Amino acid sequence: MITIIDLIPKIFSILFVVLVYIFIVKIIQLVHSDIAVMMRQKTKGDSVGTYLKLLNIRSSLSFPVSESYEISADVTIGRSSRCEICIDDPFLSSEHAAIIVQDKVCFLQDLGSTNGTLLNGERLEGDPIELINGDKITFGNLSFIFITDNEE
Amino acid sequence: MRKVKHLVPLLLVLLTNLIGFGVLYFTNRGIDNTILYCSVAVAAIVLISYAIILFASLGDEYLFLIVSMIFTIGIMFLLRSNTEIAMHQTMFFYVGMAGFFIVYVIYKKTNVFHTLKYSMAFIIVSVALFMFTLVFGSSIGGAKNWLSFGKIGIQPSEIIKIFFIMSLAGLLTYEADDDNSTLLKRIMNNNTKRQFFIMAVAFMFMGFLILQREWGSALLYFLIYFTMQYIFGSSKTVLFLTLLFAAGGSYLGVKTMTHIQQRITIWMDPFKNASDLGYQIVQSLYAMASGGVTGSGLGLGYPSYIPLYTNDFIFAAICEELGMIGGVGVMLLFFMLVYRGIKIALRSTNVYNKAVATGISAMFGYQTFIIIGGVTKFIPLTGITLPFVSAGGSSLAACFAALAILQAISAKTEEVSDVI
Repeated sequence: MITIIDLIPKIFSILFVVLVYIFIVKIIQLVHSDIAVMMRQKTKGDSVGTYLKLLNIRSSLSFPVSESYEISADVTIGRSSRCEICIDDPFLSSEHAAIIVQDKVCFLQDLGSTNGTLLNGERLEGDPIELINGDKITFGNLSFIFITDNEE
Repeated sequence: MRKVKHLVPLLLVLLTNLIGFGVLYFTNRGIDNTILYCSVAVAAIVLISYAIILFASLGDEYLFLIVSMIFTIGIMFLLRSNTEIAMHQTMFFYVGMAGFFIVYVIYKKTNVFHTLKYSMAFIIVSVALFMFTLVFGSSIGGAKNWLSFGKIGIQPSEIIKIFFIMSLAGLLTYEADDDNSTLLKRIMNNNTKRQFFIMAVAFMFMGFLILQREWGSALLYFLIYFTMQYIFGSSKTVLFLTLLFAAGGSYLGVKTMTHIQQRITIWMDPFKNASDLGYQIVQSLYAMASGGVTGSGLGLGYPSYIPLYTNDFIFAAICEELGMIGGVGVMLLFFMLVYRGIKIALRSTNVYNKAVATGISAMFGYQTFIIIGGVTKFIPLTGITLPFVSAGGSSLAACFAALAILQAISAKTEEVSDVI
């Protein structure tokens, strides 16, 4: 005669295994995002051009963000899907900042964001500022380094 | 935000701990409070260590989580079969974690291990340890591989594994210079000679292991060496010769050593000698078969029928009580561990660190394969430990030291990529 009491260890053992599997799934999610990034980098190749490189450790962020963003034309950065660089960071405004490309020279402009845009640690006011290789740009929590092979 | 994301896997580890130990506590009525102490002790050290890793930014956050999950499952099975061994294992976990942080700091702060001097030092220390074991060692289960100091016994080949990987990495990634003052330098500066020299060193290690009759470790060292040589070596001839020597060596071994012949006959048909020679493997197969898909349930199987159930055959005990799904879960955890290791090797920018990370990941992977393959009769059984699961202080300490090196490499890489 099997009673409920006898079944309890069995049920909990199965629960135990289920927990192990949930854990594995959590890690696989991470593997998946890792591979996705690697694939993206592969299709991009090692093209040297003008791009923003993320300085934060990606796995420490709770939202998806790329290691690098290429800049070939004017781009806007923000939470909104209208932006060319759309990052779902709660510290970003919906249209946070823009990078304007004129004759291969890039300018950074803050679009009136709530938390501001920092260029090498200094907060940007309204006017666009020219970017040079190695500039550090900070939006909210995220820091990028601006890399370009255009040496004027 | 960052913390919440990392808390989920951690909570899962702790919850697994809670449920597992809870079930054991209620199914093993009459057993003392050891279960409670072990549960709390393991949970506490996991929590503290993970907090240190997370808040002090010690590199990869997932390595330790995966290992703590593997360890939690392992300790559960030790506890369920032998509380005394489980107490020891919990103690060794503390010692291992202390070792983990010490090795981490040493490896992180120093940048000298890739030099020829250190590679040679590692080789000399290993040879000395081997010699010492051959002369003073005591044998357990047919292999003369234990050093006893009073009550404490250590298995030098576990620790030598790490020296082996580090010296191989140093030699394989050696950068030639113009200094030809010594014979060693002249060998190292000539690429072909260097590759042959590395091969000689690797086979010397394997030779010592064979003298100690540790077939499993010899196979493991060979696989590690072959993987590292394949990835970082530059000579195809050496690779081919290695295979040839290994094939010749195993052929000779099979022809001349009754010990190996025995293992192979058992592997071919364990049921023929089910009562004596094949007893271990047959009991292991019966245990796994009785577990079926979902297992008999934690604390409800009879692992004590399996010989060496706390050590080499612990995987059979896991399969009996957690079933096929549990066994596959454990294998997946090891897969994740190796994946993280390879990932760290790929990301690392320093070629020596790449080689070490590859070697260590290979070590975890092959070691798991050799022992799980052995107990499931997929390959002939050779007794080595299942990393982080089998009872044994030396094995656990070596595994945590290796893990610390991986952790340090990932931290070094992150440091570099932060600066760019």
